[in-house]
Amino acid sequence: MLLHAETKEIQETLASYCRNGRVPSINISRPDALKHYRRLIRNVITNTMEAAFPITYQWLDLNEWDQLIDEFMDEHDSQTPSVWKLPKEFAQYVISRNYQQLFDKPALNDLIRFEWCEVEIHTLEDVAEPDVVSLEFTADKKLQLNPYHQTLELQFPIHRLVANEAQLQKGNYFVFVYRELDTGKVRFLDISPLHVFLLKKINQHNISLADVLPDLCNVFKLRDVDVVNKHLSVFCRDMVDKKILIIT
Amino acid sequence: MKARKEKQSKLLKTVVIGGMIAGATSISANANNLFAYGDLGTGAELRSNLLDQYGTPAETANLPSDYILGEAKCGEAKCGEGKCGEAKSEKAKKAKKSESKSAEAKCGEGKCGEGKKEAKKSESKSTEAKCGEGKCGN
Repeated sequence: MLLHAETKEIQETLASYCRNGRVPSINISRPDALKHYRRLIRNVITNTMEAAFPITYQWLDLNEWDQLIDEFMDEHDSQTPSVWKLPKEFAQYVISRNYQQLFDKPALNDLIRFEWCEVEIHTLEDVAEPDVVSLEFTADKKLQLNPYHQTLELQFPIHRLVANEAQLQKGNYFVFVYRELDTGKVRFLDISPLHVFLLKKINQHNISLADVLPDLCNVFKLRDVDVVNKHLSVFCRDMVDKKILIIT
Repeated sequence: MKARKEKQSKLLKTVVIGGMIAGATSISANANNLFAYGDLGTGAELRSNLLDQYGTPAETANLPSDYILGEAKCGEAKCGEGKCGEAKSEKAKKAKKSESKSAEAKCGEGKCGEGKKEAKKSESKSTEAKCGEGKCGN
């Protein structure tokens, strides 16, 4: 049933007040109660964000955190009706508005992406999973990547250190995030650009380590193929054990 | 036309990824680092380890427990009432901040207020419950 136009307008006015705190010019039966609507809504938002971004929450000072919440509520038109999906929009908002520069906290975007990634991987829609044919890895066996994964490229090692310390070590860091096929738990791996290259190639073509090696050695200018093979065989064997790589 | 666009997009993506990796190679082309990798654990373990590094504000250590717990009594209440007590002092806010830092609750789990209540039960317990299991607004 469609709402009466006046009802709709009042609802929207109230919603606006809840978001921005600017007192509306409508007749209110109990003006003293109005503030509680905003308080309750804000609490839902802030609790959701604190739960989704506990490290960011811990790192930022309270004024910064409150500013994020207030400005997000005021300026962002949420696209989802589900509260649990709101942190994704919050992350996008914080990144797009460049708060890391405003707060002089260059690791903020990294941290917020890192924290959201876990939720995102956890909630990925189930897809047809490849059958595990064998757990005995050899370099010539065709491999497939666990379908529930994401590789995060970070500028700061916020996955290892407190963000203030991480900010002093700008570089290129890669974190592989995946969901265990058996348990559904999300796990994290700290990997190198070499591993990123290898996993991406396998993901694109479902090929063996032996197939990737020539290209990989060429890109990374590694001359001793046998040594590379040895190191990466250890890595791949471990990935097979973890069911990140699946022998097909 | 559409297929061509998709192909171009795919190609662009490959080039971007290739550039990203090539860039990374030049920066960290230390051969030893290239083969190193580490298992950081589950999200809960990693989060718990990281949060431990952030520590607890010293000034909360001496706060009477009633003062801190008073804020979370409304965990059972309806959504949004997890933070009753409008006039919180800065100190109380910080206390709350340290209380909730164990990050048991990731996105959306539990009804509003429950995450905090749980957090008070055991600060060191790591997160298992996950996103989408919540009630508020779903």
